[in-house]
Amino acid sequence: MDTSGFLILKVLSLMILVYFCLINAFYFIFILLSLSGLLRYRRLSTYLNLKEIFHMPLAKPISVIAPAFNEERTIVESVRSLLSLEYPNFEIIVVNDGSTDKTLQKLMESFLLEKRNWVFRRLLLSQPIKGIYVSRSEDKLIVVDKENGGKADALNAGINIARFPLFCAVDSDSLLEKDALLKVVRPFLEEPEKTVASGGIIQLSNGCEIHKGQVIKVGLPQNWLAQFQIIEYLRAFLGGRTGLSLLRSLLIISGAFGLFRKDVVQSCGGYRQRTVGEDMDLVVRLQKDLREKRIPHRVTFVPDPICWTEAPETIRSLARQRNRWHRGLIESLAYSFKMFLNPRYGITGLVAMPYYTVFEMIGPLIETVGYLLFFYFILTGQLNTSFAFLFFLLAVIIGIMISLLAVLLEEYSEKRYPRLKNILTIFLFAWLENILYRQFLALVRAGAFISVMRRKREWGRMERRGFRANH
Amino acid sequence: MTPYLSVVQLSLVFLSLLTATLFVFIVIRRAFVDLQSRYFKNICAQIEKELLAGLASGDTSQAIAIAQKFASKPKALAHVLISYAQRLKGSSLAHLKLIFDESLKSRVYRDLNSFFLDRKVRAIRLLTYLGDPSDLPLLFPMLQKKPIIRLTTIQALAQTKKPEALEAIFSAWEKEPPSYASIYANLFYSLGVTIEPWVKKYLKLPLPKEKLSSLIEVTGLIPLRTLSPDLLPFVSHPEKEVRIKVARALGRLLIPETFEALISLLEDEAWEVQAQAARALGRLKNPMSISHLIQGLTSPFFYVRRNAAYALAEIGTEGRAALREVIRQNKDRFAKETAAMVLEEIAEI
Repeated sequence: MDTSGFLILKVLSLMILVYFCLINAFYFIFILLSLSGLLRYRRLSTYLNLKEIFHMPLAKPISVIAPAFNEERTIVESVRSLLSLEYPNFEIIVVNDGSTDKTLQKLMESFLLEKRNWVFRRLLLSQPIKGIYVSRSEDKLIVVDKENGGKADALNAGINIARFPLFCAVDSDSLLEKDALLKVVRPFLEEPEKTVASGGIIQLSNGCEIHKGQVIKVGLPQNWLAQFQIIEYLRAFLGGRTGLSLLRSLLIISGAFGLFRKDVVQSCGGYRQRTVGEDMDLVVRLQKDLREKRIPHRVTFVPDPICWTEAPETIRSLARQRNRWHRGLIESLAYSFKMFLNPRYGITGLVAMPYYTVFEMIGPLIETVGYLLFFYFILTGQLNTSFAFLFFLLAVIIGIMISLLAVLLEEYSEKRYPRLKNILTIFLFAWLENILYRQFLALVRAGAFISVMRRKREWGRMERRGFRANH
Repeated sequence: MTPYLSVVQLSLVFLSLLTATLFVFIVIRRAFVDLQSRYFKNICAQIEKELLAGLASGDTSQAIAIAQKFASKPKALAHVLISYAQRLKGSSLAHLKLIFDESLKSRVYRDLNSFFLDRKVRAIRLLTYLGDPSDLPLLFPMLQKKPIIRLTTIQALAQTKKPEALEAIFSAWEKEPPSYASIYANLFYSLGVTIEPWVKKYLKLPLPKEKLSSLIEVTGLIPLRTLSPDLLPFVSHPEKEVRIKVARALGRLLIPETFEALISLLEDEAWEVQAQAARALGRLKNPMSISHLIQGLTSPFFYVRRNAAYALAEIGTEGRAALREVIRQNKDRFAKETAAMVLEEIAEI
């Protein structure tokens, strides 16, 4: 190898090292911030009767929008869960996005749906609506049947039908805790002039006992792949998002559970069609739009309201899900890239965008390049064995430490895993995930760059087992 | 390989120790939290038992005994006192007040300035339920604190329904940014007719449109019927939001004399005002509004058409007959479809 090639490799290695130090420093800061945030939240909740404060007669009503595509196995249970929510005034809008299975029939049979000639205002673009149904048994339920157009399109259709000033986007395959709306609406009451969106914690329902659309016993899944994901969710929600929210740098509200101001979303054009990561894309565009209009605003994460969702249990569906999520991340950041390091966009442009771009988006690519370099150095005999060994070891140690600390955060959350055996199992998987699982996910996410170039589009289907009802 | 092996060994030892430490911490913390919660419940049960005995006998010396015995357990005592104070009245409340005065009062004064939000919230609640009327002004500065403290304070003050508390709430409302109007509207609504003098007073003052709108809305929601003449000057208010709220409020107050005002709102330049006026006219059920509402049904604005159709249906037989007439015509497709939708909804077709 000539000198310039050698120099490039040296620079690359150094960059990876610097990157590694920075990303882990960020993770540690987030975990510390989250711990203080969680403790403060818990302490305050002791004396704050949320129901008393928020059961206000004029509390802003909420339209819960649940887009569904081929969800025949879980749809009825999910809608029952949504109907049992505690909130003074809300409606449920299920949008059937041209399902090819029996999603609509199941809904019609279970909730005695009746077709209505509903006239509405089409403020956001969406595929044509085939029919609007209201339930004879549940007056809060509206079902919209439309032609297939993707999740963003279905959400736009739901917003067009929604009658209330706040809307809550939920996945129709998720289950919400009964008081989730009461808790997630809190930032809208505390800072009504600024709050435009708020989101809550998503936890995995695999392994939990479910009765009448509610999780009645928290448990760990049997499937090892789902167990790895438990650590990831703890890290992402309790560690990452709580910390980012405290730094006012949150760029994502999970599509599985997020509350938004309808007028603000409408004014920025609603969900952008033909995106795969519509949840992140919306929040990034909201931040951009409001910054450009110089409207003070806040996007908040509430480390309490719980939404339960089912994790993929096969390698194939997990790879597909993560590829889709990462494509969504790339597309959203690329679409609003003008915010990157742009002081005009305040903390969003100077902190949030660089963080998400450098660490979340490019991270897997750098990690993959690191692995490739490692193998290249082995093959060419240039490997500095002691450096490579120590670096790998350090990466594993720090990775495990961050995961272990995320488990500690879980201890301060409300819906913790009850048995000590569960904690031991999570600890075990926190150790194991750094070997093969982490590398597998880095490769899958790096592969998303290729998918973006191929312009791959899909609804992100996952094989559903249906919620386990033990009663 | 020996140095590598020792590094691996050291790393494994470090990680194992960290894992074990965290696990032990979790085990100890859970045990401690369980123990603490059991202890707390036990103390609360004891306080409750003695409190109920004291309430049954009406003996004030028992109240003093409870205060002396449990003054060192402020959390549990506060918990029991708050939960009972919400439900008791008269002499029973005086019994609780005596316990509070003898045990927690001085601590509560301190806690109002505490760094910890939870202590502040607890102090606000205790002082609201069990404090003296002279203590009430101590809560007013809380209306300038963080949003969550402000919310708790106004909620707590509102529960007292004392004139000085209401005065403080309205004066805080006047100072708040306009966007807080909706939160206060919730509170005003829950206070009911007691706020009438303040609403009347503030309707006469120059207010930002958000505050004025929320006040007008509350007038309609409670409803404060005697204030309908005070609303009429706002029919020609330059701000659209205010006129919208006037139309809504008049639709709730249902005073026949406001018919003319509603007709003029139906002819307003803003479609949002027209839509609300149409709804209100439906509720008023005055057949004289039918021709105006049929006109509304041909509006280019969706919400005006829809509300006019609902209003016609609400007026009764004559209104529904008018809707059927509209279905028969073919000149205005939108009016026809809207009329059909409403009639279908009330199962008239």
